[in-house]
Amino acid sequence: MTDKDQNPDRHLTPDEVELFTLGLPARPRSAETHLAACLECRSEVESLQALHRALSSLEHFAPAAAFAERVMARVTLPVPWRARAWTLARERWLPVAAALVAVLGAASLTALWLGNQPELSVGGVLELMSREVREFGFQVVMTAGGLLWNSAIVRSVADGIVGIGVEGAILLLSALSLVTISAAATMARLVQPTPLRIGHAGP
Amino acid sequence: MDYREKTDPELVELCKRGNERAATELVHRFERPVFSLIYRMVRDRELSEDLAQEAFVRAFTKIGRYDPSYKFSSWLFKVTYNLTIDHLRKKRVDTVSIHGSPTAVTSEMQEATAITPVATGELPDQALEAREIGSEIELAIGELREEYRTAIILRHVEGRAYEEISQIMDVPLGTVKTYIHRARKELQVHLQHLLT
Repeated sequence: MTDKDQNPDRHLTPDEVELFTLGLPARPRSAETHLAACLECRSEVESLQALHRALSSLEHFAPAAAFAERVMARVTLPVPWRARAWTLARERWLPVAAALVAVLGAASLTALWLGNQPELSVGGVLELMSREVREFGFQVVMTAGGLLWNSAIVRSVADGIVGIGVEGAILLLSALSLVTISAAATMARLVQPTPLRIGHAGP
Repeated sequence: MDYREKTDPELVELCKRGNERAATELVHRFERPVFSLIYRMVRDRELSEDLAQEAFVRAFTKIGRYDPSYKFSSWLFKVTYNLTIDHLRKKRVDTVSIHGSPTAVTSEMQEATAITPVATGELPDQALEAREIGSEIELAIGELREEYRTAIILRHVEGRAYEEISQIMDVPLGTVKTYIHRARKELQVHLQHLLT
């Protein structure tokens, strides 16, 4: 604080005027002494107080009705991938469940039909499937350098199918196909997400 | 869940997780202050609505970049202010001065490119806005420079602290004080008959 600040004859600074206007204690105290004696500064404070009151009386303008709805129709919020996957799962559960029921139904009917065909022996169908699987596996293994075949994974899978029977194998393959297709579709949606639109507004 | 009872930071956090209703609540909460600030700057209801919509869209699009250490409302006002000032500056560039084209170098060229004001006074839309804006205080605020106007509205209508105004307008604290001091001086002159 300088001697100048302590001088009760100097006029108030803009900051001091504001402090008085807001009713806050002003420093230095000599300012209060000056304000009591100086008509010019007192007039300034009173004028500013009146301006404060006038400005504080101003109200907000309101936009037209349904403004929030119009805003939200244009907004796309950034959505984390986990939330997006969960939303997709919730939104698409009905078609997925319907497809699952359809595939399982078809597989069961096929199994029943196969069971009622005496000319088609279960062993023959099993042998055919087993051979196809082994051949496919062999091609994959050869393409990949023979590593997979040497580890006998494909033969183990084929032997596993033999163990659960033809109906079980059909059901298993149907379910695996469905899971693979669903997973691929979900991954495709996650890799190229469509913006999550925000439509309806309201608390 | 009643979103109206949630604080601004809670709603913003929900928005970052893609919650639509939280975003809607924030729009309801700030539509009037945002619209009012823009309307007092551009004095055109339709344009103000467009700019206010754009301000919210921009804010939500960039919500991931919002720093929670600042008030959400300050950040939203900053987006709003920048958008409005950009619009006003662009409009100024697009507008030919009534004194003629800035490229006119002779008095004849200036006269040829000058715009003569129509003697019938205000256009219907302007008259309607003037009536709506109404009070002498609003008209006096409209006479202020854009920077002064923004600062005085944020200070006295929105009740923002000087530091917040400094962040919103992206100018030093001392500049904000100067803007507000000069704005008050001009308003005191314009409204002298009301303030005595």
